[in-house]
Amino acid sequence: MTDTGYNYAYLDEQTKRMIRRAILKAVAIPGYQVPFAGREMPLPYGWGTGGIQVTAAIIGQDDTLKVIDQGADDTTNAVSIRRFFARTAAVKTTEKTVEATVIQTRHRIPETALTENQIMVYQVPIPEPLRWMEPRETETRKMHALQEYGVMHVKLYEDIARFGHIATTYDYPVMVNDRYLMAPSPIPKFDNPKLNNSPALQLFGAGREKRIYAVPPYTPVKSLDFTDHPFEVQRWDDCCALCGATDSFLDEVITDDKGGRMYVCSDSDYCGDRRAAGHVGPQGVDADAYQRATAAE
Amino acid sequence: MTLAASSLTPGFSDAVHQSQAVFRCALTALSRPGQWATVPHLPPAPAPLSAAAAAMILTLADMDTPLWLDPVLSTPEVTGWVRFHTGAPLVSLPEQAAFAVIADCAALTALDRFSLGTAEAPDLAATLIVQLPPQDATSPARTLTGPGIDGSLSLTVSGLPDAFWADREAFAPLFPQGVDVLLTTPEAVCGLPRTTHATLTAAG
Repeated sequence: MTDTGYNYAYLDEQTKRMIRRAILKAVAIPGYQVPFAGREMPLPYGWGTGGIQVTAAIIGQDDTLKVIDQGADDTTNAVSIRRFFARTAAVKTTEKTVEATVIQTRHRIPETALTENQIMVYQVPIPEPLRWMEPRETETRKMHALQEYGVMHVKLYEDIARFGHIATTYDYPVMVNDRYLMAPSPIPKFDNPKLNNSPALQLFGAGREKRIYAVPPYTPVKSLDFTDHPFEVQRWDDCCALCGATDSFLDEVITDDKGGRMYVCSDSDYCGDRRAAGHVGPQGVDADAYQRATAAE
Repeated sequence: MTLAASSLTPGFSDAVHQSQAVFRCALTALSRPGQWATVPHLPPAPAPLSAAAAAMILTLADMDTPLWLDPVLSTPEVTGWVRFHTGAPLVSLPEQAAFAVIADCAALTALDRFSLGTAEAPDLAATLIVQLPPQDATSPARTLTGPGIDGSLSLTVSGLPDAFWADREAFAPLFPQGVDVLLTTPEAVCGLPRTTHATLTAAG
């Protein structure tokens, strides 16, 4: 059911044109943050206002939209954004990564490999990777213009000096096409390698900070590191308790107050697909047995 | 000179959905340089403005985007059509333009006439919408590399002067400054963002 009383995809046409022009310039200058006139959206900053504006500007009736929040399709933010576009843009929605043409995400990249026919839209809280070191926009602009990124290496070095390793685990800074330092949004560094040379177009929208940036398909994206401290992703000793996956990003779930815990895939679609295909983790239930049990209830 | 209402051709028949589809076509073109994308909706444009270029103008231009039409396109029919459908301010100097529409490709030299943006705000650079003449296969192929291209690919475009390609390469050291180009045939578009390097394919 599509709501009437709004323009298609909520935003008015002039706003969409403005955002579309910003997106095209963002694609032409990979990793550069293009300012745009971000609008007030019917939800608070921090809930994906930037991502929603990007999605609203690109989405059409032929698209199939998937929305994930920390990898899951069934969390509040994901459900409400999916419903927002189903109501205002009459768009098909899905929880299957392979069916989606547009994937709006908060802080994860799906485990299933992306294709050329997909566009990723990231929700970004702080688009400026240098902001914690340099609060002035006038200065960070100059630093990007001059490719003056020494402070970021110093920050990573301070991690090594203090902890013996680079302790940054999410929003891990990357160099795009060997030119612009970019915040990949707070995805775990586990996902950073997926940014590199991706066949999918990747768009980033920051609503409060009013910036749009992009990584075109097949663009080199390198996580910053040092030759003696190379970039590494997180590893787990456990596998997913439900599907047994050892190659996916795992969330730790506390199960009682006696130290009990389990690790499960953060990507709910990936985990569900694996279980449907017959993979069973140590605490998982065989998919057929589960269906028999729920049917009996 | 006033424009008779009867000579004004329409824009998109469904502005919301057709401009969305054409935008996605332009987005595909710029994010996958060198590959032709068919423009899904072609408005009846006044000659000599081509339908594909007209679709780009309707989709991207409005009162916020100074638009420059080259001398061939500066006819009362075209300027009247652009003014009526987009409200874009038409500027007389190329360097003032956010979008420049070029029909006379042979004269597409001295790309530094257009805004290249600044080192701190490279997004202020111009986007050139170029109407190519009818294509033949006699022109030399060029090898394209850069973001959006998986490895390299070959593009053969005729009608653009050597100075156009030379200027684009001359801008490469200036990156992030540069101009972005949308090449159009009457029904398709091909992107050449500033990041795309084009070199003459070695013979043999």
